[in-house]
Amino acid sequence: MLINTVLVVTRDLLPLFILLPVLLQLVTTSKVRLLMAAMLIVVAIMLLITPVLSSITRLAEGNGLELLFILLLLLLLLCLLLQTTHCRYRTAMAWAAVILQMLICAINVLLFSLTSVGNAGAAESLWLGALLALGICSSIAVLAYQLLAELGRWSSWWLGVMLALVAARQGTEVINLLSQTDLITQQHSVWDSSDFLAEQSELGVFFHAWFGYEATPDSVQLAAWAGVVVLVLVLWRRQIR
Amino acid sequence: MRLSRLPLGLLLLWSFALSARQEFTLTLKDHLFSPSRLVVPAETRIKIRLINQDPTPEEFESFSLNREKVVLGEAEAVIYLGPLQPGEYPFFGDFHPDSAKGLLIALPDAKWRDHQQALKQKPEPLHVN
Repeated sequence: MLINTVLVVTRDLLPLFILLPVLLQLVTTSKVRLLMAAMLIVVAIMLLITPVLSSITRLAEGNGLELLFILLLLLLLLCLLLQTTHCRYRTAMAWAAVILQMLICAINVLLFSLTSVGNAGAAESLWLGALLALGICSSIAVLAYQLLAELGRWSSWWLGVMLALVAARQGTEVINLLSQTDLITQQHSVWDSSDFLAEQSELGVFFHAWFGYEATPDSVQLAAWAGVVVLVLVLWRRQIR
Repeated sequence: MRLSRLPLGLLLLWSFALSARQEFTLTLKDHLFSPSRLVVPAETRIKIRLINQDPTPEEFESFSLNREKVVLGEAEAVIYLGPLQPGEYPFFGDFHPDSAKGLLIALPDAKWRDHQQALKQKPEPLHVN
């Protein structure tokens, strides 16, 4: 239970802890205060969502949660795209992106935490595992932040590339969920790289959380991924000119 | 059709598209999938009704199928799949990966018909609804 908790919670939290260093590099205002405010907002929203989470999951033949995630991810993608413009509300949008990603992570962790209900031993493993996962993800976030800060001294393109990869991940997640809810048809996979890099491996999980790595992507996922990367890089180039 | 009725028409069309799929049932009890080997036709759009009889949630996960679906305790969920290429697709319960394991087998048309025929002649064990 403990090892599985570390793995599941790390996988659920990684997208947030990879997004956070990118956005913290883009935002120049009081970061700690805004981060605390974002956490409080997410806690408040979770308190509202938790009692109705069961009803949400049952919507649309059990696809309610996926539809909610599609909405949150599309908003998140929009907030990330706005980071490449001179939009007046750019900073607010960066914090909205953090809140949206926190919300997705919190819902996933909450659902996993329900596995320990009625099992006292499991609850202990859950807390310990979640703390370990938080430590792993925080370490990755700190390293990523420092790396981006160093690379940023050489060229602002590094931040643009990182933003493009993180945004592309949201794009492929939306396509995945649209396919899962049958709003788009699942296509045959274009390749299978699971022998080279399995999605369930440590690196596979990290790459999936970072830039949406899929061992068996289909043509729509690939098109969405490439489309978002190109769009963000083009907009980024216009912004830094 | 009047423009105001267009969303209703699209909704009906979507509902029809969803209902047209062949449906299979996968049950989860004591963190075990039943059947653990689910045989389905390849090159066809299908849906799997996942019934979780356990009191705790489970996440149906399959990397080869690109599917990740949470189903709450004592609840049902539907997983839409296909058209799949013939082959074997492992899946597991992400919250209990040691026990909840299974394999989805997509058979090509001829083999699927043979499989159906074999089931009619020998109905037990029944894997397909």
